[in-house]
Amino acid sequence: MISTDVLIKAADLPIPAECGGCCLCATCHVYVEPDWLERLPGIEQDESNTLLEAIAARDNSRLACQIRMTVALDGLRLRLAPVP
Amino acid sequence: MRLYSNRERPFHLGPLALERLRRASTPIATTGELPQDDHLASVEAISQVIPEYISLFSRYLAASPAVAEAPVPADPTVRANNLKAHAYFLDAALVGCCQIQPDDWTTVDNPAHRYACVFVVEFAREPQPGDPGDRWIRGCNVARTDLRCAELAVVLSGYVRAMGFEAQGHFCGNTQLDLGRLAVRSGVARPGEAGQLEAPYLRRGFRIGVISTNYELQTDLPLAQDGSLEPDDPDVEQGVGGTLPASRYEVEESRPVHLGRYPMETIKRVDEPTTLIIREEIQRVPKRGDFFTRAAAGDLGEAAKRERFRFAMKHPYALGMQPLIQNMVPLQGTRDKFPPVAAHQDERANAEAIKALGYFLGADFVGVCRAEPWMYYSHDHLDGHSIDAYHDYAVVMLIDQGFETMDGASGDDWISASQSMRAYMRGAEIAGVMAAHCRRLGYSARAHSNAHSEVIHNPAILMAGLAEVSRIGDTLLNPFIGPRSKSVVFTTDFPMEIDKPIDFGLQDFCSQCLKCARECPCNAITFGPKVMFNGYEIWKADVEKCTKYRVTQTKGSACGRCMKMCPWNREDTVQARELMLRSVHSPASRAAIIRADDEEGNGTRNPVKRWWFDLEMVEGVAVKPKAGTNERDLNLGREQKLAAMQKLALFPPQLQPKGGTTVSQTVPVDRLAGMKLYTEAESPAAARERVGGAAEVKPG
Repeated sequence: MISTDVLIKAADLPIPAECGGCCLCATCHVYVEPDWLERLPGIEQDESNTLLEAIAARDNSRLACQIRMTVALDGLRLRLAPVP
Repeated sequence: MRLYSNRERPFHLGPLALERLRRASTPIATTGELPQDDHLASVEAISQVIPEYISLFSRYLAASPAVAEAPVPADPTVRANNLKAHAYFLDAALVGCCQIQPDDWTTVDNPAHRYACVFVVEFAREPQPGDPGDRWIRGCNVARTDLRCAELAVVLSGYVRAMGFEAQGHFCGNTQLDLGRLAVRSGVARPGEAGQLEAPYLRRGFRIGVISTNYELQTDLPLAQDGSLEPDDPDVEQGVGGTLPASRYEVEESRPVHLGRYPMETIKRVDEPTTLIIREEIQRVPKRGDFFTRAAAGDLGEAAKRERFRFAMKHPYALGMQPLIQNMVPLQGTRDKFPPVAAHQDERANAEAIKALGYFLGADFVGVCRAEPWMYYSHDHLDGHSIDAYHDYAVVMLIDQGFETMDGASGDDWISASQSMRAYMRGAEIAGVMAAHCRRLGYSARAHSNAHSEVIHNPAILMAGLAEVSRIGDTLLNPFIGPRSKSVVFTTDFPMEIDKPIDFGLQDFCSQCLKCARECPCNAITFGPKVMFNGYEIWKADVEKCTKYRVTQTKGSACGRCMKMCPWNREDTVQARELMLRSVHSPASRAAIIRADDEEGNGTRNPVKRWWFDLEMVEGVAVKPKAGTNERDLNLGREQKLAAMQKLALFPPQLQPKGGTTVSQTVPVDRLAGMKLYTEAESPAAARERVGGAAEVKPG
């Protein structure tokens, strides 16, 4: 399964995703549109820890590298958060 | 040290200008005798303990190839250049390729491979009679160099087999081929007047190894019989273009072997390291607390546990090194006390002889310190048994990972782990042989390699005067090669004069430089000040993040990007040496040197030096990496943002698994507690004030 940071990169959008999916750098920080938030799998402890480092984190913050794309997420809406 | 940069010289051409030699127009089928030692070895000679290593290495010369071929270019020139580069990376002096003719085989029962990659390894310099180490070293070059040829033969043939092609390694004493004929045919040697082989540019003796294979290779032509082996051309003699100048021999001869090639004796020595060590506060820690061990035990999650045993061997080249790295462990030696020996009472002479031996075998730096009890781990990680300090001395050695490959790499792409493994393998080989030698002299000794160590290397490196603490944190930094090294240690009761720590101004330099932190892919290197950690003053990196990234990243194999990025990671040229000296001796220049390092683009990848194939071993087969390859250069100007978001954790003894915990028990990392402890960490200034009297070392 492809994670959404890979899809965002493939679309040539500016997302560093520096650590390449290791959940370590918070540079794939995204905001999830509210109506999609509940439909995502829950946040694991690793992601929660790394989000502590995210710039301007909000309640709807997630790391794109931890969101694996599935058919159920077709139409998912995300906004890129500020990253270094 | 070279006069001219080699940054425009492709790596597969090697360090000597083979391409400038005249060639014969057709293959020739002559052979010759290999050079031998010039004199007999003494009864104390190192050659007495090398055969057990040669015997071990010989077991891994042949095996079945992987079940499928790697997606590598079919062009035989590309393949030959790639294989030559792999041999040069292992320090071959000359490499050539040729076809194998049926009558090159000396036995009927042979694998009938069609191609040969032939490599030449030059003899090392021996001490003069009466110089330190002479009785151990003189007359041992054949044994020493055949061992190195065996190493290359195992690794290179293993690499080709891991790519799915038949291959077998050969070296003198373990081959079914006439190696001399192949050396002549591949253009790396030529028969001289007395029938002994001569190799271009090499003024010492040499030995030869070969990989036979069915992997198609572009062949080279033999050297012209009437051409010069060292062209009378000032450009070649001076090394224009970055080849080794002819003067290198005179430069080397001007220094005693035991001082090594780098003038460490010019670096200021101090009684205590430039960073505070409060010995009475250091708690010995179990091997189980090491983060690679924690990854193996599942403390860092399932992904890290799964990848721990694969991450360093994900590339077929590193996989080719694995048999040696793993199987040298049983030869590492003993902890047992030996009966007292009356000989070898001169500690200074002993230390100098040990250093000469280390340099002869291929170490880049050798130092000696006391093996203080706090340097030993407290408990084993497999069965939890306690470890008592057992030897009095530690011989500490650094192996350079090489500037050229660092120059071509991002630091975390598909060659990264092979850079580490080469140095680990070489270090284990050198330390293992040296420890065996000490035991033969009657002194207990044991090597401590990356595959198995019972001492923590960093304090030993520090106390032996080979490096200072750097911003990178758990990687120490040497003035001549920067952080670009791997260490190996052997402990022993062989009595030696110890070295003192060094002060080359690094604490001031790293206080001003943030480059490694800025370029770390997982933001694990601190932008902040040093802290106290288990009795040590250190820029403490977040080892959980660092380990997780090295183990689980998918676009390369491991990571050494901090080493690549450091301004002290310099080319081995006269100009770079001058810059190093200014970094050491001119505090006022340091800020400009740091700024210039970025402005000159140091740290970007040099495509001329990108000599390896991007391959990933998946279920025993080398494939195109599924997730791609890390493509990184410089990330200028993001220091402040990264620093603002950085939240590091540290894991002192109270957050490590307790002594006696084994690797079969999972003890999850408590990251939140580690983050809290980082924010509460004591400053070195406060610690100095608390313990009293330990003055801070002023910038040197």
